[in-house]
Amino acid sequence: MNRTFHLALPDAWSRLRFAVLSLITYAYFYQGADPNQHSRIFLTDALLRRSVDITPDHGYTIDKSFFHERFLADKAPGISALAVPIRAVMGWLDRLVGAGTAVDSERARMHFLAIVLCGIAGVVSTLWVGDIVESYGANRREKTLSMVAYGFGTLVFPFSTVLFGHSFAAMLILACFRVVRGDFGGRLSLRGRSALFGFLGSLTIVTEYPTAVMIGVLAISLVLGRGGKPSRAIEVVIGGALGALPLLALHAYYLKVAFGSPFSMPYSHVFEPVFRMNHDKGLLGINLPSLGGIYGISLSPYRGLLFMCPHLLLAIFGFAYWLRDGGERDLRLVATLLVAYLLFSSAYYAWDGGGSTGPRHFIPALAFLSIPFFFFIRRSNWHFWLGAALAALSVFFMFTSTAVLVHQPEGEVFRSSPLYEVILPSFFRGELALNTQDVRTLGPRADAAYNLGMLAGLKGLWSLAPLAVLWLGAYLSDIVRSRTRGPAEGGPTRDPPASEVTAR
Amino acid sequence: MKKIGVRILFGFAFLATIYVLYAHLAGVRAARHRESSVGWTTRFSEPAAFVSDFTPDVTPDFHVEPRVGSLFIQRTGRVGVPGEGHAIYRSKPFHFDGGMARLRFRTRQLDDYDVLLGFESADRPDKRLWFVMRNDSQTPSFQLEGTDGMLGPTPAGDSLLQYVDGAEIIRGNDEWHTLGVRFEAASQQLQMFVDDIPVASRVVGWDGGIAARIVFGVRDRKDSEIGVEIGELNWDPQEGREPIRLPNYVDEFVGGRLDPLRWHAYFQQEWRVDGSLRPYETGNGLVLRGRGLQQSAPGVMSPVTICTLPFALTPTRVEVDWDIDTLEHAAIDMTIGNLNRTRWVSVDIANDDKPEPYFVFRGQEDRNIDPTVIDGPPLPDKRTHLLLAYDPWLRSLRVSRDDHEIFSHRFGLQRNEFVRICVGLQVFPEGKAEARLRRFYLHRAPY
Repeated sequence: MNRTFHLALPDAWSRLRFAVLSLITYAYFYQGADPNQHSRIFLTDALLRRSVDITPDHGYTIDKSFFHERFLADKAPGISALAVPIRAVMGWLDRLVGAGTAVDSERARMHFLAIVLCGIAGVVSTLWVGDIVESYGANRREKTLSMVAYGFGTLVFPFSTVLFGHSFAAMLILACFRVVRGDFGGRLSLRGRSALFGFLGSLTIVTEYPTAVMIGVLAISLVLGRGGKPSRAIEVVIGGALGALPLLALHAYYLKVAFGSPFSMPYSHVFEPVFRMNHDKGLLGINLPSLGGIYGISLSPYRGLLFMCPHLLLAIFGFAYWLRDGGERDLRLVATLLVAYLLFSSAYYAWDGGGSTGPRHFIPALAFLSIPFFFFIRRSNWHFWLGAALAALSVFFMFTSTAVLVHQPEGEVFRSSPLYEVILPSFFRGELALNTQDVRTLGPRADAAYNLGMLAGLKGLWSLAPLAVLWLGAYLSDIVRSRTRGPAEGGPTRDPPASEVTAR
Repeated sequence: MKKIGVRILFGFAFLATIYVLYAHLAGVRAARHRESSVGWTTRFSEPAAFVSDFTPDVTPDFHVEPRVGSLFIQRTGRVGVPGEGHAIYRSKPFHFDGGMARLRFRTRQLDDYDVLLGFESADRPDKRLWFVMRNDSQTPSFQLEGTDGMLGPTPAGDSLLQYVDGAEIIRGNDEWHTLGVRFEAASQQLQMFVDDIPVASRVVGWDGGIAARIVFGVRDRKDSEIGVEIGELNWDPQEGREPIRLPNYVDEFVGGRLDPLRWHAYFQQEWRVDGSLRPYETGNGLVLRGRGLQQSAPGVMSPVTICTLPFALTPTRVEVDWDIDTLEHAAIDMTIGNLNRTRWVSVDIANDDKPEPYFVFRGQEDRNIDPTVIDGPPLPDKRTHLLLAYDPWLRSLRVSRDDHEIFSHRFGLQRNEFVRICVGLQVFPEGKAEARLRRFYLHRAPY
């Protein structure tokens, strides 16, 4: 009935092929530098020097805190800390091959860290999204579409190409979700599973502080379990605390060394006056949820998720189908996670993420929109194809944003449309990799960002051709087979009811 | 309960889908207009076409005649009330998403009247932006008239928005000149040009996507004798869509020469100050020298300043190498600011009341920015390398001295705002300064 079934993922080999191609695609784009990435990499370098002081480099970033006459990173330290061993090995290799501090070497280091930490995280969370929808009864084509739509049709794509914490946090949140569902640690005792949750949850929080909201919701869900017995709650709390303790203690030590107290958060010491002005309001810049923020994050042409990733509109329909089909428990959890995070994000003064593609703070929650998206596309063939068409549009928007400029300009929420004002016109003119902020460089450089095709001397849109060749080449045999054999394995199977699948 | 939940979700999903669809269609439409709009040029060689394309608003004292490829506008009589006569023409309404209009003209009489070019909202003609050359018997002056923003009532009375400094461009009568106005919807800016030289920009708060008309004409001010020949009116919705890209350059002032395509030099023409520019004797570089005269009143003077030509602001980096010879009660400054001087910042190497030169940051943004003394080690050999980097996307200004950042500041200069960068001397009445500008590097990102 449907030839695309052969393009789906039949086995471990296909899974590996998809993962490798996805990682190459993420690695293909180098987005240059920015204050956020600078702040993280400077902390990594400081940690390598057994310090937390980024004063020697602070001039290159405006994302910094100031405490006791020292400049410090204002970001959650998770990504920076995880980069330390990688950076140490890179330093050893640098010395081996004689790489210096030339700007090309600095770019290569930043690029490599982004691939290892954020690119791989993006790929892993994409694969896990596939696993999750499969557990709800997705057949191969539905699983493939869900994965492609998530990995390349949401903000996960652009933010898997930069050294921000969002992609990594998204992977960790999914891991926590899978622990709660019993996918991970299912054979462990409840206390053991809770300890695993505690460890992953604490790692998520120290990677991106705002994710504490979702970790809290997931923790409550784990505590309540199916029965909500008091003895279960005690087990979960003890296990969770034991699991979280090592990382939270390390984090507290970091805060003590850097900011004088284990409870003194980096954002309470931001240096730049304009940031300080906003962070001084509410709780570190977090106030009550705002309608403007909710509109901006969801619908606006400025940063709206549903505007930039239109297939996610179908996730709302999917929620309705899911509710009608009786998947209350998981639905309640997923909906609570999304609503809580939306309200939280809209309450933050910088809900737009500054110079960003879409509302980047919302990335850790995006996987939870993939589940209701699946509940839409599974309804019928035309539901599937509508989903595929909108997902293709989302992939196009995300691809062009990644190729042109991830750091999309700030503007007015009701007027600006960076997609139509900057991204698409530039893309069709063949103007790619527009970011001019370079690593460890003051002021702009026209060559600060690039893609690998440009490095090979290809100009304009031709520089993207190798990616197309790569994907086509990798799937050529499947395409040929599908045209010669016609419909075969992998066709739509009758999905088990969601309620059966979710009753784990 | 579940049914209600399902219905609410379906209802919200439908509404959201319709809104997102609408927003995309609007985005596509606006982008298509921006990318595919076609411009036009009127040279008045076909009077019938001119009459059909433009709506006249001409008082009886004016005589207007299109002939031999020009539009001649003359004042032949008097209406009795000085300043009420005019001959103004409005184009047909068109979809306005930004672009550039140019008016090529020459004045045939030196007298008090205005030549104007601008835009008007087709739906609300009281919302307008007119770039006006005010001709008179001496040097003409320029100003922007109209309304900031498109909503709300238009204030009665004087519609002057700002004066524009462009007088030095037009020096004589009976020369062909060009007025230009460019509107960029993305940044809501109007930019003004005289003879294609950028002279001012202003955030006017207008939106793209409206119906607008191009307006041009002549206006009497003092019951004057008027004679204007308009040679060409041009509208290009594509031009200037990208920032004006002056080439980046490194200037080492070989032979002490100032390239007129890069620099303007300014000397304060007053008896109380003396400034000069000369080449460095034994190598590349430009020596700036200035001194105040003891007898004069207190105050800071600018004996000599050199400025880049104006350019539309994109992320910009400036590097300057100085050898300071003398600095007493004086300062060497590097400034980036808009042409109206409403937003500017400056980093000065000053030596006033301290034994060693020190760095001072100052500026203006709506109000004066309090001067800040920047701490740092003394200047080695009085030689320094200063770097000033400004990113209008981030609104971030960063200053580095000898490869170490010494100051950062959030600042409001906007993308594509017309700015220029100046370096020069400032002296107090008892002060003197002499410094060699060894190298000046200007780099602007294309976007």
